[in-house]
Amino acid sequence: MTDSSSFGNETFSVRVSRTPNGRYIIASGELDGAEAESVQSLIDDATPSERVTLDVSELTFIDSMGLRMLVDWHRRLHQLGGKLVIQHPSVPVERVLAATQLDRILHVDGSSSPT
Amino acid sequence: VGTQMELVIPADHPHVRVARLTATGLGSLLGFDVESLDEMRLVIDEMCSVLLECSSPPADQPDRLAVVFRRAGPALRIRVERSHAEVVAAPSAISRAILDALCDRWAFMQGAIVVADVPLARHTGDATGNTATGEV
Repeated sequence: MTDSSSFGNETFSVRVSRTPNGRYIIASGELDGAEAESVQSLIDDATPSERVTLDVSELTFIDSMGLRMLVDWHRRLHQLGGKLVIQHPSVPVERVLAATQLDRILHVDGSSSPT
Repeated sequence: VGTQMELVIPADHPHVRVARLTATGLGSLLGFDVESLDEMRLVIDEMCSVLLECSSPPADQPDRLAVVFRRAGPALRIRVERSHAEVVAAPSAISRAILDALCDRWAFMQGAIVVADVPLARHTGDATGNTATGEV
């Protein structure tokens, strides 16, 4: 059984699906300082050992504020015994993760998708 | 486009998008490829974000970010100032890593000013720094 929801605007949107195995989030568009704040609380209700998969294949931009949100999610889920998996980073996301060396800290699954 | 291009925006995150769009347009005029345009908009975004995160807004003045683009030898020099603001913190490690990776050099100065040099040669493929289709 899957429970889904979505929200966003013309430049950024997220789709969230919940399954018994965890949460699957697809982020699309530009994740910047204006948007990071609005999605920060998306995992506030995370349960112990929950796995959150964040698909960023449709993300065309991410800045330091977006990256800080990912690091915050990573830490919070880790503290709960869970895990954040960044899945299929787009080329722009992959480049920024490499430049900041956050690809060594965050769990990144899958190479960049064609853009 | 002349010797210098200026943009003034309200000092908030939603308007930083306007600076990104402007940087993308300017980079396109200078002949930047897609990857370089991505880098250019990330640089301008980080410069603005550093000022929004690390300086306090002016008490009795309009809170604005003034962005200036101009040619400086083999680089495109970008200067962003939050007028009448006071520096209250240092840039985050993530912001520093991004600017270190994408700029020849950059500095965050008292007076709430960030200056960065983006190398033109890497972006336009011209070792002399001469631009392909435009000039700043």
